[in-house]
Amino acid sequence: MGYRALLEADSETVQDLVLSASRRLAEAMTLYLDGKYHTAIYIAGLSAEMYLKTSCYFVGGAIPATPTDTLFQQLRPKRYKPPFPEKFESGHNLWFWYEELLHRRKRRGHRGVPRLLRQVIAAICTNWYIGMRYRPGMAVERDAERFLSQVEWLAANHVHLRS
Amino acid sequence: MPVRTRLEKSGVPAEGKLRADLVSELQNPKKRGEPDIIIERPHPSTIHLYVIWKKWGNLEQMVRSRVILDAFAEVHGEKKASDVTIAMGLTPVEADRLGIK
Repeated sequence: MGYRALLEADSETVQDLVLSASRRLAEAMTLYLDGKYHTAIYIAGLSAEMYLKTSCYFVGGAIPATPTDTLFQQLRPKRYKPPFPEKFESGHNLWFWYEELLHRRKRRGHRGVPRLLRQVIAAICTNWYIGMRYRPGMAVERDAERFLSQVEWLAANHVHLRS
Repeated sequence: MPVRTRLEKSGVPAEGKLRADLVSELQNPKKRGEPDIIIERPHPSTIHLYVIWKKWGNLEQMVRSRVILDAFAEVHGEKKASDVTIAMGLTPVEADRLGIK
């Protein structure tokens, strides 16, 4: 069996994203320490995306074993008109997930998010986009160091975003 | 094809039995053997559960996860169970591939 078939043998679940977010961030740190700054930023950005997505899913009532496919599909533009202007962009626009998280938390009567969240998302979005994987990369150590610290904040505060 | 008059029993134990075994293990953990239950706390309000167990056999991950979460909730209560963000059931081979020890 090929590796892809092995991965796809089971549906992707919310808990897969939780564990992957943590692992990608640790791997980004390894890349950073190895001087691979552009790739470290790219991988850490994926981690940030997963922390935001899982926060939305948990606030929406998901449990660890909930398959992500349905949760994701129902947010696609053809099925969902969000009460904010941010575009879905194939699920890679972190501003979309930020606004959706605020919207869900408000609708369900959860307390507000940590004040720094908006600033952290702004910093992440200023430095990361999904298409950066097609660029050879010219990041320097300081870029990666700052970026990783923002995603680490997101990881440390995941509990405050999802509950 | 032969026509049978009786179903063959599946090798996978029923969910209820698995859950009962897990509840028993959570209440009175054995010093060795399976199920091997790992309760990780990356944050005071976050719980990651991994259960390494040959008995999972071919059960789907979603079913395994539900069994683990139900057993945990039965022992520790629903409120504590809401802190669980990972409830993975893995066979020893799967745990090895996933790097869970």
